[in-house]
Amino acid sequence: MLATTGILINHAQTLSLSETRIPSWLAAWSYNLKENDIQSIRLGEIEAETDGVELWVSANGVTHTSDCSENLIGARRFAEEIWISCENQISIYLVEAGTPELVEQINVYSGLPNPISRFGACNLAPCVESQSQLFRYSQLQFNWQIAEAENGMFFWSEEPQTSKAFIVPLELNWHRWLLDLHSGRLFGSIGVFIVDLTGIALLILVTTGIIRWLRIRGKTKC
Amino acid sequence: MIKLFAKASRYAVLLLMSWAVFGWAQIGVYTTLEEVLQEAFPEVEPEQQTLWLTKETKSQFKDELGFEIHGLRQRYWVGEERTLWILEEIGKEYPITFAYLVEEDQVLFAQVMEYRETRGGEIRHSFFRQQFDGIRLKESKLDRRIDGITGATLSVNAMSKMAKQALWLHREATNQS
Repeated sequence: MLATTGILINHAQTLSLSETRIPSWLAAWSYNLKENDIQSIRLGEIEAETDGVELWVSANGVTHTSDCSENLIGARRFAEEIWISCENQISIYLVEAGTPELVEQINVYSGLPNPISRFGACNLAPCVESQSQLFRYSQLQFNWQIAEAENGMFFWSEEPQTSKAFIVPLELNWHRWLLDLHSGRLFGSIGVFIVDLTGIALLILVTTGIIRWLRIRGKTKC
Repeated sequence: MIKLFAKASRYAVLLLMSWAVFGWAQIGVYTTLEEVLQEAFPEVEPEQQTLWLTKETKSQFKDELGFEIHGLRQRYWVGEERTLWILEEIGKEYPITFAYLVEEDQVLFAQVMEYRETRGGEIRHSFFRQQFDGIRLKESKLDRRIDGITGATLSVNAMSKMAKQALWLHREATNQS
């Protein structure tokens, strides 16, 4: 195992081992990962998922990763743009040639009211509810304006669904996994024990091999 | 010998704890959007505008500055001839929020609005930020050397990188309008 992983690590760059994440079942098994709460929402061909830190936006098998602070609140399409609202920021996407492309992320520093408790559309424009106050986005002035509940039609986004899943961190690629396997960092204390035993066994084999060889060599000379 | 070791360990633990507290103390919001807008446009009501970044623009940006610009649209505030850019860049692990006020292709001021890293927050101090006052882009580089801060190299790099981006975006926005 040590020899094989060592050879593979030596050729990690050639084999592009750093470019592929390991499968989630392998990460869960070897690193003893716990399941995370995942919130997801589907909007046509787009699916948005988050663990409260990263936001994964997928369409036609292509995933774009950005960030989502705190909870996913909702998603809605406005003309060609897809607005995905988290509690403290909104990510705006376009789907071009079937691929999700980030247009921009807006947060408190772009004038977005926060924290957002509901997201949707009022009179066809993006709308948020924050601290019991409604705000409507002005497409002409690029800012959020206070909206009155009685002056317009509100269509709040459906609530995201919550499920459990293993989240494989970005840095957990095949190269990292082989390095950890090679140095006994996998499977907790058992991993260390196995690598220790393998190392000791290798030392014993080499030492006894040399002793036996010296003995045989001595007998042959006599 | 054991007593000496125990004493040294206590000091080491104290040092580590104070370092951790000092690190967390750097995280925070240092200026709000309202404060920056007030400082940037004391006499006019600024308008928020957006700059669309086409594939050609993004490609030109990368060719000139040597790094990629994210997104297809960038927001900014404009008032009189000035533009204010609020940009985020990762220092080591977390994004730092910067604000740059640009007029006539030079930075009028640079601010750290929110700092989220545990080390390197010294860039928020005026003695460091003032180095950006009056800075321009010259042949795709800042026309002046920015003195670094020990232990804050990545944050200094992030602030310098975003200063270049703000100056480039100002030029692009001015040309388009």
